[in-house]
Amino acid sequence: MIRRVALAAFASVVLLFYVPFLALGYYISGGGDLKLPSLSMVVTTFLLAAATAVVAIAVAYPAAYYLAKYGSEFEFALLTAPLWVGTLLKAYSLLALFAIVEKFTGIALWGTAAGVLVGMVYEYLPYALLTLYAAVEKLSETPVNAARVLGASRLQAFFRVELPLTMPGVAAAFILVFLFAMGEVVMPAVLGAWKVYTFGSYVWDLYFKARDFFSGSVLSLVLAALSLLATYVVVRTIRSISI
Amino acid sequence: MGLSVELRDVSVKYGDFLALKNINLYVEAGEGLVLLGPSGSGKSTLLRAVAGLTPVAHGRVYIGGKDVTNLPPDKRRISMLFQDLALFPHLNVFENVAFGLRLKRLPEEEVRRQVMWALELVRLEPQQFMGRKIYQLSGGQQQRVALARALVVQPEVLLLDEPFSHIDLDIKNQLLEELKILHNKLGFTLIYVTHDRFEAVEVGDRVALMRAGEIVQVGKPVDLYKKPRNRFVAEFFGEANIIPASLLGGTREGYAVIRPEDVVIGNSPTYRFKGQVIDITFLWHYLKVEIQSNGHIFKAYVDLETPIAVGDVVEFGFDAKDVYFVAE
Repeated sequence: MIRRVALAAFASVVLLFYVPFLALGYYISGGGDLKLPSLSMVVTTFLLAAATAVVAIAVAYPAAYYLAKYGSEFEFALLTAPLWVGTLLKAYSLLALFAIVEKFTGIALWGTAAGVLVGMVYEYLPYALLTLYAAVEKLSETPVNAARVLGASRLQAFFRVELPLTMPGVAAAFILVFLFAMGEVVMPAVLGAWKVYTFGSYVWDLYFKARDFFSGSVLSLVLAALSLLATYVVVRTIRSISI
Repeated sequence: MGLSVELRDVSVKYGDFLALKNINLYVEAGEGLVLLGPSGSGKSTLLRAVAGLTPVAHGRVYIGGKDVTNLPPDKRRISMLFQDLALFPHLNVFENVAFGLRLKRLPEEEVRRQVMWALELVRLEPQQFMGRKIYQLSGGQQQRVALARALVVQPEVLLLDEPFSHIDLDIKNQLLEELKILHNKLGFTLIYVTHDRFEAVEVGDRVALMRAGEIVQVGKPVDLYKKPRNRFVAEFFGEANIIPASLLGGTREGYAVIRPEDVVIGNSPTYRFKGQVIDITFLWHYLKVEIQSNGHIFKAYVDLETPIAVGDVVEFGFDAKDVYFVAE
């Protein structure tokens, strides 16, 4: 029984993840006609994903720090509650919010990169929060105390000791959010109104509008490879700073 | 040259729990004081109150005569060694030691000079060690680095919270010896927390014995040993025979304290007992003999050559001058 159930999972992974490799092989061997995305689309995707990760971490870190040191279970639940809501619902709720913002301030977010960024940060903030929480929570008080008695102010102790010691958590949060964000489809589609066009949207369109499964498969692999490469570079940089 | 440390009526609360109760303590400039006591006695809390790591609920803390009660730890001119490893794992040995100097924004040349000085002080060859990662060091080496890091900022007061409790006995003794030398050489005031009376007498000019958030007795080790204030001090600070005073005849209340080395087997001048030997332990330079008598077990330290065996019925006793009476 369990074997058959497991087989279903295997089959789906094979179909969705490994079959595209066949398409890639077909393309490399010269048989396929690939519809490449434009460079500006790749750059937009990359910048959006990086900005999402940076902003989400910047917003989540203080909250994770607070939760780990002083927070209650209730506050924890409050901050991670958006995880319960589907992406599409979040996107539509933001549309309503954007309309209100525009009415009162005149700032239009719908159809702009800033609007998409807001949506993506909203969506991935809980992931950054949980990852950073785990990193801050296991931090012992002693190194901070040691820094304090050696003459460090509260702030100096944070920047010179606590932050470097939680850098692995920051790197993990970055990987998680950045990888999710690189493949993001829903937020750019709904909040970007197809004006902010990302790699993910392009792959989506290839599959479901152009019905070009071949290009969709190959490009989703290219996207995965690009994401991994970028992650590698960023994590290496973070690690070289902290350790 | 070190600064004096004074606590006046200091209380510390953890929630509803009173961890320190109206502590009054004066540590002279340059003195070495040991806070000794069982776990939970409040000795670490007292140290943290001096360091400014734990807020005091009541009372004042003075360092060098200046009220520091409301000053943060970084403004108290102290340094501290912690029980669990407090080295910074993301920095190498050099940067760990340089930490306090960098906060003072000293020029690189000066930082380097002082780090070298501190590493040599704790007998770590700078060229060999300064580039190492913390995890590449043994426990003893790590505490040496921690000591160098604490000393390099030239503190007026050095606080040590059971710093060597996780270290092998041999290395611990070596470090204690070196700490004593450094204390004499650099002249800082030293406050050392431990639960180990052997460590206590090694580093302390004076010992403050604590129990349940209070200082029970403070004084020179020999005074605590020979003139304990109560049974707790007598028992915690060395081995003791404690018997009801009435057992020695007369109308005296309270308890009599007799140290095992003052118990003589055979004829003794003042107080004589008869009992059966129930245990003998070899302790390198003497034998510890346990004798059951009058419903008490007496401990006696005797010569290795003493002809005695378990089961023997012996006469033993002690001199009146070796008996010390306590009320409680």
